[in-house]
Amino acid sequence: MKDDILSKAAILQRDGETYAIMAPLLGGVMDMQAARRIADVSEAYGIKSLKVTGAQRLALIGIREEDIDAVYEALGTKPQQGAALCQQYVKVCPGNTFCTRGQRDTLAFAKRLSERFHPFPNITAKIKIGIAGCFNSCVEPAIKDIGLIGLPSGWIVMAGGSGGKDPILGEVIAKNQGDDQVLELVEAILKYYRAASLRPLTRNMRLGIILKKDGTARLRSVCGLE
Amino acid sequence: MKADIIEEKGAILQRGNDTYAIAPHIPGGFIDVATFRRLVDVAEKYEATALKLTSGQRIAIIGIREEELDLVWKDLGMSIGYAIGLCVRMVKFCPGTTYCRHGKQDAIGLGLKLDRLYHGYHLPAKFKIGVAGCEYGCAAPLVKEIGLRGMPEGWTLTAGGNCGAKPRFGDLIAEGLNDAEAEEAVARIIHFFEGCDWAKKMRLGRVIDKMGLDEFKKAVAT
Repeated sequence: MKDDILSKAAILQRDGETYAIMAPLLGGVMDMQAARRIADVSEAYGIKSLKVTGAQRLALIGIREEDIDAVYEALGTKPQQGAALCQQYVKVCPGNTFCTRGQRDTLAFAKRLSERFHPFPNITAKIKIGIAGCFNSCVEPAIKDIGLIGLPSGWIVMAGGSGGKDPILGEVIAKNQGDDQVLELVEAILKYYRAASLRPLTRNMRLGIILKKDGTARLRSVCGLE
Repeated sequence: MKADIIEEKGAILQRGNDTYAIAPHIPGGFIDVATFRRLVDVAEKYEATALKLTSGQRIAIIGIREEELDLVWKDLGMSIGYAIGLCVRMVKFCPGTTYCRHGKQDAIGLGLKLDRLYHGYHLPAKFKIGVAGCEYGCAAPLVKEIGLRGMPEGWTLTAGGNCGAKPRFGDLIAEGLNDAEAEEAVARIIHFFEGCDWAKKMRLGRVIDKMGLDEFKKAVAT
């Protein structure tokens, strides 16, 4: 009986036979060379469909189990544990690199954040991070565990959002934060999240549910916020 | 001075006020390899800067010169994705029972149907539809004007969700709907909103807040 192969970030599909994996694309941006490579690999391994996911990732659907390693290699990447379809991701809008509405450089910041924190701590619940370059919130930061909204005066930091079974709007815990300050906050939030996800009462729970049980005072205090 | 948006060409002015981005229509983000390859070929031919996977499950081609927009569309042979304007921006859906083991309802089937009926449909304000095959909600249905979540006993319908500066979850309208009932309920909500002349640029959640949920439910009831 087959199952997801989390060590290869491969998700078993409905047919019970084939798998889906994600192309490695930071922030969903690809240059033509990367795009061509994905097209070549998809063709070579008989991919059934590509899918742009809700998390702005490109899923390659319908890979045979014995081809998974070869597909990763052909894509020029390695499977990243924990990066499986829906466990952990950073979702980011085009920001002021491309979008006329963008008020901050979300793509560069996403790269900095990903490099600093990847691989993300081993938290059994999901970690979704959304980085939006303006209030329009193309990446839905209000329903991410950590959501950022970029404004001229700095970042708004939200914590504890989720959109699934137990929907929660993230709570604003800080405003007007600079890039470095946000990275410190993210580190503190991830530490808090990991510790809470190991405690019996809040084991395996999403950050928003933990905050509902715990209140936000403790999170604010470990973040150095009043 | 270039136009911010060229609606009939689905083009959005990019930073630097020089080139445009377009987003071809890719229902649900599902694209076969041949179409994807053609998209990449065309992007390369016209020296696009980058491709970006978007939240609306599209692939935006960024950095197209204004004078080449028509040629790009002709070469792509794809229709416009309505990423802009006062209309149904997208019907976002997940792999549902077609691919995903968690799927409880046929999100692709219903999503494609709603996409055919409403994608680009003009309304008083921006309008998004999300169809998720299970309660995990990969298509983020709770922050869409119309959200459908597939449960074992049928579709759960919510209305009035949005993200943005004032995020709001959709309100529960109906549960246990089959595909036909869900489609009909969506039609009633869209046609009601279409008639709200007073709600120009007001997203459905604000409309519901203004008139009250009970009144709204009455207005869209069978």
